[in-house]
Amino acid sequence: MYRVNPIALWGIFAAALVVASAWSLVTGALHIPSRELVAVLKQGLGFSAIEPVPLHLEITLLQIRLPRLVMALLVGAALALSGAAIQGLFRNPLADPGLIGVSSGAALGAVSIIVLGDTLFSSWVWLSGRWALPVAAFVASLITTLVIYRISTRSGYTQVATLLLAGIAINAIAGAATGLLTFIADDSELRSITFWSMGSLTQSSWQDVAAMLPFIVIPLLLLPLFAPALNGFLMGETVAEHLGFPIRWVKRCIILLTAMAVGAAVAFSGVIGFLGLVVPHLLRLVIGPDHRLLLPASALCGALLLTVADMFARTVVAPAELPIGLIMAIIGGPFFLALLLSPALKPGGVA
Amino acid sequence: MKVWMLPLCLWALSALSTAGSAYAGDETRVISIDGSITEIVYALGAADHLVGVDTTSRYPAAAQALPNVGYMRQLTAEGILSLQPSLVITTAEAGPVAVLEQLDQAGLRVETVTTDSSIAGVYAKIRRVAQLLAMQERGEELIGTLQSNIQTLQAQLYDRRWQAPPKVMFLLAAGNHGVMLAGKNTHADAMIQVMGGVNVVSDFNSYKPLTPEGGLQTLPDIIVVADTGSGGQAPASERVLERFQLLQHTPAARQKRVITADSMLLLGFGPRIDQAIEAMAPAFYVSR
Repeated sequence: MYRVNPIALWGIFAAALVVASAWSLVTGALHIPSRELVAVLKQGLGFSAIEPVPLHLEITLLQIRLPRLVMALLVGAALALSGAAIQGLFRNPLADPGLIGVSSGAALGAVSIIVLGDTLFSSWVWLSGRWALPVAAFVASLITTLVIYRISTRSGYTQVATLLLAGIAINAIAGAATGLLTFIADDSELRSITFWSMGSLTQSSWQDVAAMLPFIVIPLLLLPLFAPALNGFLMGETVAEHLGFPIRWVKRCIILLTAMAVGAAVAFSGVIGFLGLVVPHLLRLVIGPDHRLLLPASALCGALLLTVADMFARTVVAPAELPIGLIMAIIGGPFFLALLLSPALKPGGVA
Repeated sequence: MKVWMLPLCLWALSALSTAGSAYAGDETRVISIDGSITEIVYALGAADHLVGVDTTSRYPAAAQALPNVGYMRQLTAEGILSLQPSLVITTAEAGPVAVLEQLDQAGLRVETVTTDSSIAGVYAKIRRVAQLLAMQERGEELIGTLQSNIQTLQAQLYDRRWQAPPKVMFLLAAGNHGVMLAGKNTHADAMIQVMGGVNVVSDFNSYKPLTPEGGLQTLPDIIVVADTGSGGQAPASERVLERFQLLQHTPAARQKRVITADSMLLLGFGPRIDQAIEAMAPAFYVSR
């Protein structure tokens, strides 16, 4: 049934991830000579320095590139894994976490802070400082998801069809509110909104990584546990229930966990599209629909793709930077098309 | 192909610059992050020190040839560090804060020049930038020239002043898309005050799309069109009047008090503010 030995595939992904991470650390706008690179790494590992490394090189490696790499790995894994889980839950390969309101909610939260941060929400911004935007985006994304979830849950039973439709309605309302804020925004705020909606890992610091870590690591560890249930869902909810899966509980957990992971990712990195939708697709083409393999592989592959994309984002127009959402679509789109059109694939292999 | 060559070029570049050891030497390497600051650096004759600018630095044209660190609210720490600056001059609009913190951590000197949209604000900005570049004398000289130019222009305006301050409509017009009307708390509003007029808009902040009826309603005495880049087409004022036919019934259009100039010039609040006043002045002279 499997086109590729899954263990071998995981091995390849893990190896590629290590190589990409190392490569990402040594490349960037600022050239760091290999001698300094080794010296900083030695220092970081606790060896005493033979000769002092210039401060700006050390900061670039340890305070700029390293947290950013960790951020890319976490965000990439979170987005792709959540995408795979949501597609499994909705039994629809076109589903993505945006359906349950995460993205539109986060956008509303972020745009509110960008536009109203110095008026209506000034005390909040004053209180929370640079955390104002990510926290607002995260909270707004969770609230939106909960509203959609409540609407579609009748007497403890969540209907997937209602969830989808309620999601569309609530997304439209949140989108309208965001649009209204965009209308009253001034020029510089508009540019900030545009940049936010194209995604960026520029601001990643160790504090950011620490703040988002629990919200991403918990879903990363727990979501793969639902793989057998999601396999059951492939045959329809009723069948899954007859197979003995506690489907209410499964649905609730998956929705909450993905909302948490995607909400945190979007809050810190803005909107990075494509990853959650396409990575699970790619992998289904290669390893088939078994979620026990698909979910961990999605996380690995998502982390790999985002790390590589971020490397491009940082270097292509250096010393400036391209939004990573753009890079994602530019390199991912054609790659995905090529794979779709590849003669090695049998027709109908997508589903 | 190009993408793959880039790291190589960067490596070569930085190898060259580290050979000169920019951090140790007393040579000042400046990154200017704000269009008006870049203009001041050029006006002071300190362009040799510039090693990088941001996307808002579009005048003079030579600035566009310098390495560009991106949009001023979306800066990246490593990009800025890679140019090995010894000084970054910017305004309070620069961000994100986290990136500025990273630069600070890396031991880079980042100076934020406070800005105030007024003539006095321009002088203060010039004085501060000159001080940062250790060119105080040149700065005072530049301010002196500006002061005398502006005094002459304002005296001319005063000679031909209106009985009551004229009502001014300030529009931003790009190539073929929307025309924006300037509200309160904008550079455009500050510029109207510099010219001794009052903004026709009093009920909203920032810029809003102009609607045909709304435009006529305000009955402006003068219309200023800041051209945000028309690329060889008809002057922005003609295009605006053509698209918003109703504006032709305003006192401004009937008395031909419609003026167009480059938006960077009109709204920059930089060392070209005297030229901006001069460009707008003809529309502000009362006819006797």
